[in-house]
Amino acid sequence: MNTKSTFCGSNDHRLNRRGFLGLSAAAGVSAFADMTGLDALSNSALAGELKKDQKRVIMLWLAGGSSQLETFDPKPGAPTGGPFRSIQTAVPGVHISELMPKLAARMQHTCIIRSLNTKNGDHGGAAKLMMRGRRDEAVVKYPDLGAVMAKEMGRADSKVPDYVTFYTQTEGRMAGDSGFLGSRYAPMELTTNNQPPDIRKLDGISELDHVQRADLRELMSKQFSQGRPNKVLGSHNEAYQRVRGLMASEKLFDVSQESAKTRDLYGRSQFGEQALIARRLAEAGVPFIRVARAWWDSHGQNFETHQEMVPELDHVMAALIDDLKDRGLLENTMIVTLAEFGRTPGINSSLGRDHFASAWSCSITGGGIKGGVAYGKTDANGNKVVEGEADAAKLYATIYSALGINPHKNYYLGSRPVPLVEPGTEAIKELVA
Amino acid sequence: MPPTTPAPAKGTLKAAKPIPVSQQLCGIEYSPKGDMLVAGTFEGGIRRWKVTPAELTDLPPLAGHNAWVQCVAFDSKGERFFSADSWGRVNAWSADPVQTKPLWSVADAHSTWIHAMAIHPKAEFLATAGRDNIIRLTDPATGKEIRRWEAGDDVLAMTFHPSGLSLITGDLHGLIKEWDHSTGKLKRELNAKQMFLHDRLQDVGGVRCFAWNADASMLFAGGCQPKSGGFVQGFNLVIGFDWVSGQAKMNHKTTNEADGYVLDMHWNPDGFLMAVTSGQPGQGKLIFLKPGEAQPFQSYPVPNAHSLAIHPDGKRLFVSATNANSSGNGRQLGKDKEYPANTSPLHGFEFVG
Amino acid sequence: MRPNRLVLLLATILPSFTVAADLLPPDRPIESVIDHYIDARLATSKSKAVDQADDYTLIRRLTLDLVGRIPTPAESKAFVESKDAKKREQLVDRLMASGAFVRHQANQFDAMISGPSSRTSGIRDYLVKALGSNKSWDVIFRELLVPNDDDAATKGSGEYLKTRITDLDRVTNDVSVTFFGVNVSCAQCHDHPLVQDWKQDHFFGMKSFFARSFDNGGFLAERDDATVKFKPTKGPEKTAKMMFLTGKTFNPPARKEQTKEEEIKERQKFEQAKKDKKSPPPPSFSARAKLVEIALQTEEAVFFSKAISNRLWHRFLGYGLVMPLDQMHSENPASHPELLQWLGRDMANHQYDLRRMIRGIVLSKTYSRSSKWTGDIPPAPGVFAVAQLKPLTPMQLAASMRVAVADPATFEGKPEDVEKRLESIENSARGFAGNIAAPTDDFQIGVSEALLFSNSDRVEKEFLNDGGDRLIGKLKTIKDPTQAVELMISSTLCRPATPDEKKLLTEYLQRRTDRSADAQRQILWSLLSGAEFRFNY
Repeated sequence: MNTKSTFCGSNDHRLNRRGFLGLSAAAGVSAFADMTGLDALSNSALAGELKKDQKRVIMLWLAGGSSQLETFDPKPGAPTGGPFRSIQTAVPGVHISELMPKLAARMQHTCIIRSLNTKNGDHGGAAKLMMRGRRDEAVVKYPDLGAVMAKEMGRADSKVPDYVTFYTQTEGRMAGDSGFLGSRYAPMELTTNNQPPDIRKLDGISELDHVQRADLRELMSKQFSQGRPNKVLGSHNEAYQRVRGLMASEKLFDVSQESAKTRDLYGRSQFGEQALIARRLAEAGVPFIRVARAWWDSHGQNFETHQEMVPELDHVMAALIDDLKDRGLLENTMIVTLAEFGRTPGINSSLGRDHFASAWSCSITGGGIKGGVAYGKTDANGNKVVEGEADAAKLYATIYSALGINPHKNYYLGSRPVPLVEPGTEAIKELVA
Repeated sequence: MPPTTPAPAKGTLKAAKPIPVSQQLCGIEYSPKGDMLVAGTFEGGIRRWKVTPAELTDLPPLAGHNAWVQCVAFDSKGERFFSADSWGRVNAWSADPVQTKPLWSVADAHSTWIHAMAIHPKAEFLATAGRDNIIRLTDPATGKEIRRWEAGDDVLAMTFHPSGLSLITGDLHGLIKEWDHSTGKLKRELNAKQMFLHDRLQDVGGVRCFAWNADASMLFAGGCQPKSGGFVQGFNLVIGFDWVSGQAKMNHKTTNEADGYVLDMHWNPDGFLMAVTSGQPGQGKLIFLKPGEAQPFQSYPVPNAHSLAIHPDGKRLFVSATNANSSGNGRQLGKDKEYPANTSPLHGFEFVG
Repeated sequence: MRPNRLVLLLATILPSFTVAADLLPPDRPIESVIDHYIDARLATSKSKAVDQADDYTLIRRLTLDLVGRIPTPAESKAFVESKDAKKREQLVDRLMASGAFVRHQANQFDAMISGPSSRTSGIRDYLVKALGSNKSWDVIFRELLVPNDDDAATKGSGEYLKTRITDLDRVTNDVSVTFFGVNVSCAQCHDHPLVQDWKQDHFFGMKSFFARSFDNGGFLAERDDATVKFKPTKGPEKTAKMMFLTGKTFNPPARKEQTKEEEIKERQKFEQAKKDKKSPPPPSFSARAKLVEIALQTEEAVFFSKAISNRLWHRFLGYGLVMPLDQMHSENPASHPELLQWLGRDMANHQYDLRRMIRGIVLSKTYSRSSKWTGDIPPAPGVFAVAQLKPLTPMQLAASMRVAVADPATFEGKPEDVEKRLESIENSARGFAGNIAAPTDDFQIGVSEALLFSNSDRVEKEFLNDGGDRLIGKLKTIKDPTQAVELMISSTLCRPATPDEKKLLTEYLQRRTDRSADAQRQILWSLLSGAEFRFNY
């Protein structure tokens, strides 16, 4: 079987093409058969099943900036502590907010970093920083974690997307960004509902015609490609080769494929359903899925907001941990719960908390991260980091290390080497399993 | 809300220089005798001041709470007062300034944040409610639980009818419920749903305070009409219900979405409501409002006011506010290289002439 | 003997040691100088240049590069059929004289100055005016760095600094990258680890020119004083000198110590301007203006002139003489150092005339080579033996699709009417262009574009509808399938169909006689989404 002459390798497809080339196939073949090795890349990657150690990341993005004091770094009794209590977790000595009882019971799987000092307290800039671990330069636009994962863990011929992002609310919406890695690694963005855009065939064209016009496109494009070896051209053809596979992945986005029990486990909220889809995608081999939940920007009524939103987060995190664990996926799937920054310990006049990037927290679970650890420390009122300070680069070095990606590896922008994380930054060793 | 009706206010209102308080305060309350002002803090404490017409003198603070002490209330005789915190504890205290130990203390009156408290006019019951959706009726003398029942929602405001015949709660979703507190049965519901909004996947708003007019023929509910969640924006909203019919007879809504909540209010026997509004940072007011009139007839800026205490002589009042520059992204380090703490200055007012 | 052999060897592998005196004379036409240097290098290498592109390819390439769209069938036909020896010059001059040239170059310069995904329009609006009135590159540089908000003629130019000035590190590096081809950002924290040329002194020296500038309520303002201090990797904190990339320093006029009152007065001056929503009073001495002045001085202008030459070269040839574009320094020499030097000198000698340089580049034989390599392993792009594929920009793609799906008859008639129609097509393409990713360094096309083309009803509605002025509408009137195929190919691919294509596509139609309109749409779709359409080749 010559897989080179078909784009998806399926027998149906081969028949379809013969169908339209029909008896005069010989003529077509003489002109078009000798295709260049453009899909060599796909062929080499076709070989393996999902590698056992292929890591995936589900990022829960708390857009707007959740409060560390009402989640991972409570300060009960301090003037800045707010109204809530802290509770003992499954790990002796580690306490988190009373708003997260379910995570507390699963603390042995999770690590908390309480010592982020990331300096940027502006939504846009901080979100870019925390999604990339780096600050853009004039000519170097860094890829975000999703794009890096798509590049590191995605496969050229994959029938599922490499990078999916849900951002249904409009507040603070930030598109995924593959930076200098280019649109090959750009995400599939879901902003209006849980169905990806343009994944379903229009009604006006039959299944067969849809396939065959794509064959026609490919045939002529390959003819053009002869004698024109070019990376961008290769990516163009490859993108079209992936269309049918991606269309087949539509049902991954359909939660009704899951049992009522599983759906209840995640909860029927939008956030819960998107987290469930994220699990479905991770299971199918999608390397990176981000589920954004907005809008945590509680300048007013911080405590009511967190009283409402943290239990939902708690529930979704617990559901993901349990479900991934039950399916044996937790070891290779990392849940990153992260925002662009935390919130001021000081409680403002509207009983809110404002942007604060000097001493805040995030959490990482699974996928090569050591569970049951609370790393770093802030002072009694939560104003400053007093132990284990980590900036965005250090956080990313840790994430990459845990995922088995060398944080010091270089990408090449033309001839320019671009290290994955800020040079001189080391991972937090205590957190890498 | 003071259980006694203050004497009519006459004359014009003069503002005194705000008194600095080194902590952030929650509710403030005058004793019925007018000789003491008490306030719950953000730090599990209660601040007390001896009050004379000339000045406030600090009394020793009271310890025995945790986190936010949002509710403080005196009984009508002024011998005791009660306090409730965000960890679910209710305490009773002597009004004698020398006493610093609670008369009784119930640590787990609620499993979590107590948002609202009301004392029965004849001091037969103390009612509390909060995030656990439970209404608890307590014996004010002993702290013993008399009854508890499901409120059906997060109760944010509470009052007894001045007749003492029923308990009224206001909740997050803008429902006002009248309860027969002798049975825990719901008698009827009044609609203040304008005070609620589901926005950005969040519940915003809720009924925040109550006041009765002099003959208890009208119940006023205060809150806001929310415009957006997240960074909460909303218009001041006060709805006045005819108590017998349950019909809304008055609907005072401001036009500025930055006005925020009406967080506390009292009826003035001269026939108007005195209320404080939260506002966006730096805003907030003390307003005087006549039922039936569209706009307040008097308004004084008090940044981010959250509680109002009226002296029984009706001539003096205090508004607790928040210090300027308490808001701000990132915060600036102070001269001592530390982040400055927030405070709640007390703004005193007096009717003169 | 040994030392001599070493010298000889060095001389062959490092041809960049040519001095200015050895350059070709300044009065030779640009195109012939380009071909001279490129061919000279080719002669010493193993590679042989491919043939010149055919006329169909050449007019497509020139039309896309100069006016941002594919040619109409009538334009292609006229060019190919013309026997005029000067037809290429005539085409170039006609295209460059059109309004579309200004608009397309404004798009290109905007992407270069603002970044490919910029969402603001001010700079583009300014560039349309500036390029339309033939402003030279040094004038545009000055108007971007020393904008005058009160001058309607340069409105929009201020946006460049306004969107950057709150981040002085960024503005310092952006200006260095865009206008001088130099990336000094690494020298921010330490002397550049890889490049001896760039020290911390350079970064902070450049930053000092901007340190006095700030945002004053939405208006760009400049103080009379401000210093940049930095902590070198070794030794105590330093105050940076205003220093250009060549190492030339400048001492700003000393300012007498200000009294408290004077300080307050100055602050009030800016506060008042902010209140009045007016541009603040100018400083007595502008450090930014000084930077512009220094950068254009004969000795220093080598950065400015080489950077723009390299960028224009990259725009039209698809690969720079120096790559990456912001790495112009001694350790990353140009592939053709003399050529770059000559082009830079020509730019400076002719007052940075962009049109002159563009015209010279596109008239060279180097520019008009075929993009198809017939041998085994293609040569490195830096020898320019074969033309590079250039992915279309979002606007080029969208406008070209619009042209391709129009009934060719709508482009016949008076030239000014056709011009107007093409302009309206260009405007209507803007919306769709927003869905397409802009090419960047190491660009790759993503699957979202393939999905958009494959399944979006937007493509269906905008490009495959059968309105009266559309190709699909016209095809309805054509009975012969082969004739239909010929029309579709010539409209979209700007060339005649090959016999194989005619055979293949005719058969595709014949097998779908029950749904022939659908089949035509499917063929048109496969042409529009195909690789040949997607690139300027």
